[in-house]
Amino acid sequence: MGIGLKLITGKKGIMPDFFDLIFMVLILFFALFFIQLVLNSEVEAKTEISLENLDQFNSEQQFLYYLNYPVLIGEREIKMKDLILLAVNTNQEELFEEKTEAYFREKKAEGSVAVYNTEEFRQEKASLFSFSNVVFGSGKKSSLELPNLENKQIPSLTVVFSREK
Amino acid sequence: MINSKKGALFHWIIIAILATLGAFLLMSYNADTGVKIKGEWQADYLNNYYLVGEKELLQNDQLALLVGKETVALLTKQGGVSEGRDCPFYYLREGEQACFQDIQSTVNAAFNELMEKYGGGKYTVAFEKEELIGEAEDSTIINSNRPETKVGQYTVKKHFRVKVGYDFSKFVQLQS
Repeated sequence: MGIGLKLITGKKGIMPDFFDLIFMVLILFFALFFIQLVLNSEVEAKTEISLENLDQFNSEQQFLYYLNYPVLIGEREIKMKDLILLAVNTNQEELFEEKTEAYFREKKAEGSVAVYNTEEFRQEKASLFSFSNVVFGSGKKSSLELPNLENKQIPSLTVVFSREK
Repeated sequence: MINSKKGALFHWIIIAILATLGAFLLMSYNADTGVKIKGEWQADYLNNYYLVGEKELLQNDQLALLVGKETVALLTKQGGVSEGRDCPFYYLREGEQACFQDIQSTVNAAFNELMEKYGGGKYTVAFEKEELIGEAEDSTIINSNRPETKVGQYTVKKHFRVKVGYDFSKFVQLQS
């Protein structure tokens, strides 16, 4: 008679062996479960970082696209960045709002744009002009300083752009 | 339970399992499992070099446009003559000797003087219809002070082409 058969048939040997088996299965189950958990959470965290990076790039690229977007002033075509300077220098907030709103409507997008005097932006003061078609913005913010040589009082503007996903 | 030998053993086994799981979770909390961020290098390159370069080019375009317009205003005010320069072309106007400089070099000199005043770089400037075209002499290194630079040096030459709304070739027509 072999040892294995002896173990199976032996009344005294069955229960401790059975418990050993159950313990092994339980330990293996929990060990594998937690390893899987750790690996999954790590992969998810890294994927999240990848998507964040991609989102940052998209947001910045859309901001540059917005600043170079062509707009018509009468029969003259200028870029949005020139319109922002024109609106600030001639104090025409409604012109800025109208063209920015038209941009977001045409792109079927949600977001906000705020124009600051760069000096005041650094001191965290209020914006000169702003436009938003969202209640609570959560998009990535991009900003750029634009030189404004034509206005000695506001020699530089900071444009802050945010677009919702 | 305390007196029972089997009970005492199970008691310690449960504690050991819990302690092992606790240790495992603690060690695996900040453990590096070797999973890499996908596209990390590419994202770093795009966000910290390419986009920064594009932004600088856009800022430079804006500066060049404003300086270009100021150059137009300055030269039209002075009749196409840049101050303090020798006069290569003369013509007679109502019995008086007047001066016409080479408009190409005049625009170039006036633009670069103004650009220097506003902290811009050096350019070789040409004009075509109502546009000014600038070829940057120097390259600009983007994010040169980043400690975690992975791509070596990313440089841009801040060339520009801006519409100033004035055709300098009118001066050439006047000379001929």
